[in-house]
Amino acid sequence: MVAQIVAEGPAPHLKLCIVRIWRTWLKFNLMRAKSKKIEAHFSTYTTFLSDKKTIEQEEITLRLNTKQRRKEGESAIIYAVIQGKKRFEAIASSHVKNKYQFYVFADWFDAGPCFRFDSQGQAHCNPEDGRGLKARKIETPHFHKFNKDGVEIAFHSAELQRPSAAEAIVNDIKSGIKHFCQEGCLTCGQNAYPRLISEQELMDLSSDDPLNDVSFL
Amino acid sequence: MTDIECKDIIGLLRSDFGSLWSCIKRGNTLEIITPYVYPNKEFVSVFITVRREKIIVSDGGALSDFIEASIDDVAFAEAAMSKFSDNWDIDKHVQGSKSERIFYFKACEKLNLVTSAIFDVCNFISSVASASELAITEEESQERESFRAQADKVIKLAAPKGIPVSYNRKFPEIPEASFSAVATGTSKLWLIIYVTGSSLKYFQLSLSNAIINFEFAQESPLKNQIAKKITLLNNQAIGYQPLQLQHRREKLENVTPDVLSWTERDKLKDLLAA
Repeated sequence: MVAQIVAEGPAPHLKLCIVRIWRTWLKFNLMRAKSKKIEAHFSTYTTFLSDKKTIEQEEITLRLNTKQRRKEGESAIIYAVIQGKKRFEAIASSHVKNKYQFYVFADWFDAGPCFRFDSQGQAHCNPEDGRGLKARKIETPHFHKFNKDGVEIAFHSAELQRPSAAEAIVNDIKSGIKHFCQEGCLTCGQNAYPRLISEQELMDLSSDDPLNDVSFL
Repeated sequence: MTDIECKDIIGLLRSDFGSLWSCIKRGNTLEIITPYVYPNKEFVSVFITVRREKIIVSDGGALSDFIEASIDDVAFAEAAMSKFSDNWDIDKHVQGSKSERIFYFKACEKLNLVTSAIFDVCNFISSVASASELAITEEESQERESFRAQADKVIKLAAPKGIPVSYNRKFPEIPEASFSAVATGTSKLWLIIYVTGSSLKYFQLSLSNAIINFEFAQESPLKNQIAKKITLLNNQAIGYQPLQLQHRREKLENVTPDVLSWTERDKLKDLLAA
């Protein structure tokens, strides 16, 4: 459809269509507040998360995105029950050591990710669930998924609740992808998880210190 | 419960709010997770590090990332940054030339002033991030994003082989300007700005923005490298009202003759090949 729009110009009805696509994109990539589609089809969503799914590529190359200072790679996910494209995406910071994220996208729900893992980064503020303010803060490493109200929440898996296991996962992206695949019911052909290959490994300038190269004064 | 006393609440507040603060050591930097929250429900982290015997409390570059991802309104974001950085007495540091990173920070010399600096930096981050969410109307945001998506694709197709195109680009040599797209040849730059608007007012602002950005480029050290300054003007936008925009358009054409309407976008290929 985009090719058609580019070729013929933004006719009013197509323009409205683009606007709707962008509204969805903005909502779920930037605001990430609530998914009405997941709320309306919550049982389909939970089934999608708990069903076995297959990551198509056994090896995923992480390519450098200089502007975003990170390495990115992706593969399609094979899952026949819901329509639309499904994909797995891996992102690793090129300047902060052990900072990486994994995503599962399924277009049928929304344009934004429906399941994700953050090894580092900002803590998430969950809605009140009756356990009080202290329980609302979910520090990284953590997963993100949606609750029955379609609200994005962060959580710790049983594994991540053990500090030593959480530290081991953060310190090794291979352990991270293994755990992500376990938690997200993903496999990869004959393997439990895909192999990540970084084309920039030899030039990796990442550091434990996020402000390592910042002079300030 | 029939009566409630201050003492019942204050203790809980101090305990529960207090528990939201935490600290992680990352190399020589401390990450402080605060109880302040971005509009996307992520907690605000600030970073403490020492430079030249001063304690620096910064946003770690996160605020400009948030603004860039949230709202494409450079003028508004800069106005919000300027106003709130004055209010909270915040400094700005720009690091790097290839991939520029912007940090907002406050420096102090004594440990007992760090909490005060954290208070200012957190309020600054929270104010700017919240204001930016309301920067432009939803209609305008959609108008810009949909036009930008289409224009990006057209430019990608129009650029000759071997001429890479980058989008939403800034240059350290032109500090206050940004360009929708930049094609880069051997020692040559094609600067492109998209102009659109969901209303006349927004269209006027977009056009004014193009004029001033091209003027900045023309006065910059890069001026000899600029092959073309191209405006891609959305003449199908609701805000496009030619009679009301006549003077601005003339002014733009004084700065650069290469003003292309969206319906003439086929000519873009020739401009990028020149």
